[in-house]
Amino acid sequence: MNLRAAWLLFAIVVAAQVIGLSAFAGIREAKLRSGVEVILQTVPVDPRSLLQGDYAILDYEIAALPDYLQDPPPPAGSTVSVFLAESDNGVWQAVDYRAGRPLPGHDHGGTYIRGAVNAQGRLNFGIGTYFIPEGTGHIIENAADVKVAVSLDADGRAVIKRVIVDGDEFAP
Amino acid sequence: MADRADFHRRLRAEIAGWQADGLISADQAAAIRQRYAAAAPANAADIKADADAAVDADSAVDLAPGGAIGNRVVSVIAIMGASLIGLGIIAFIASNWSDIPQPARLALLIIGTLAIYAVGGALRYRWEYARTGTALILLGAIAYGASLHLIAQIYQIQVNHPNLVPMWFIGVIPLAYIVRARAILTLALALLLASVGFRAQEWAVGAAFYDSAYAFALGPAYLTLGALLLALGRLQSRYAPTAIFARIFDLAGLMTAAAVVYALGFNALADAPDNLDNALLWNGLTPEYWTLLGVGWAAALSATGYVAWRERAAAGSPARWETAAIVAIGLITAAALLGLAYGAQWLWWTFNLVMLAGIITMIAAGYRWNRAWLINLAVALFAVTLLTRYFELGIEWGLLNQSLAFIVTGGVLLAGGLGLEMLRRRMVRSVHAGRNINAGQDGSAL
Repeated sequence: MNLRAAWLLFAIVVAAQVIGLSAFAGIREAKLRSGVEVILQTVPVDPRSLLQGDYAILDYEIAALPDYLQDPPPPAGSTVSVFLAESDNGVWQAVDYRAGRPLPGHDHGGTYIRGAVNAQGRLNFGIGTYFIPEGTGHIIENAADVKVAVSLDADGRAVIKRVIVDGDEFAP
Repeated sequence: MADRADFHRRLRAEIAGWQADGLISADQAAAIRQRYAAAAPANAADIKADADAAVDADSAVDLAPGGAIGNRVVSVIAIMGASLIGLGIIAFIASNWSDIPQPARLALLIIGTLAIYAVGGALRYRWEYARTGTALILLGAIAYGASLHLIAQIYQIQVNHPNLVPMWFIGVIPLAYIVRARAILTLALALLLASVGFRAQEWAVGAAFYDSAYAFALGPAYLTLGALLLALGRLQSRYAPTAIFARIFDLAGLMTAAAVVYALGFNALADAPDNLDNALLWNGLTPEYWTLLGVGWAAALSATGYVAWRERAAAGSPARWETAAIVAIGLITAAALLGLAYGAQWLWWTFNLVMLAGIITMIAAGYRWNRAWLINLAVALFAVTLLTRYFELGIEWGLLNQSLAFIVTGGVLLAGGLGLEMLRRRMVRSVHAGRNINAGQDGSAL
């Protein structure tokens, strides 16, 4: 491979990396802006990732499967759709759980979030962690009430918008 | 014919070693190679040795006083610098410093990554500072991974998401081959190995949340990867453009397989599948897991079979040893799968014996094929295994049984050492008898 060809290939790979990074950020930003906002009740704890720093683990009230889906319990990894309705205090509550994904175009009665059953029999919505500035985990951990505002797309996928700690947006 | 092929292979290895040690210049190395070139048989090992030597000779072009060693020092220092800066960037992102708004941090990192690549590329390709340029491109590859994780942090993508490290690997692996840099390839292979670990949390759902069972379930996946890396190393050693990467693949493959055997040699780990419902564990292995094993083994066996077939007529080729190593890893994989399905308590002592046999085979192969790195790797593995087992077996077996096991194993090894020394003495005698001019170099390898 001559120098010119190597330089060209190098430039192509670098360009692909930068385009990939931009697309990655762009897609997430679009999801964040275009979805329906719902507020969910959560209970956090505070560990650390070596690559991404401190974060809070968010365990959602709606992650527990109801009794009517426990016999037999859905296998680990399977999808469950949780239909939500807003309560009087502004927090969205689960009103129905259905195995699998709703059929396209079928009216299932409103907003839903999609989760995958984990090995402990709870639902993982892909919004189980929230990254926080170093050393601020105690604020969330010691709070009496933590809620999460998430953006839901039409397919039931969620992206965290912000965390609400004791009634105020978390901004240490 | 076999002696001549052997002589040429060892001569090439020695020339590369002399040049690396600064005993001879690049010109002298080329002259010695040229002197023996006409009589040299062509096979994969020679191509690899030539390519390695050519890389060293190429390195000598912009050589500062101090020869090839000077070159390596420049490379090592530059790569250490790049690695430190890279870790600094990752720590900066991990701190999630809120004084700079997240969009500004994102722009800073993406533009910074591009700038690092641009300077590295210019140094490497325009201004011919190959080593510093390569180190900066390595830094760019680290910054690319850091950017991916920053985006994941900004948009609150689940921590340790299984797609992030594979995306990093896919971005870096082409760079290694385009820039022809072993340091970047090392990063890429480390990312590949880490990718399997991150992906596996979705592949072995039955074992998730049970650390030991999860680690055991990873065993067959990593053994498959080890065999594949080793086979790809052997395949690449046949072709001059890729031969410089072969040793990195060999080393990564062998270390991966050895690490799994070492880990499965712990009694506590081998107990894990027995402490869980085996059906739950086995049924929790997803189609992706089986696809990795199937595709991985198909590729590893195809590559090994191809090399063995091409080398079938080449006298003195190590292809048979390499094929045997891949097959042995295959058998270990099958044993680990049996452990997952039916219980694994019998495996821990089996894997300890396999570890010992593997170490002895690596020493024998290193001696036979004049590969000092293989002997060094085997000795390091032996030291780690011995220390670990001394403490583990003392608790598990009681000191008296442990004493017996160590004395018997030590006796076997001493007998093996005596056998090797007798072989060496016979070869030295053959030098004096003028029957094999190369035997003296073999002796010095020990």
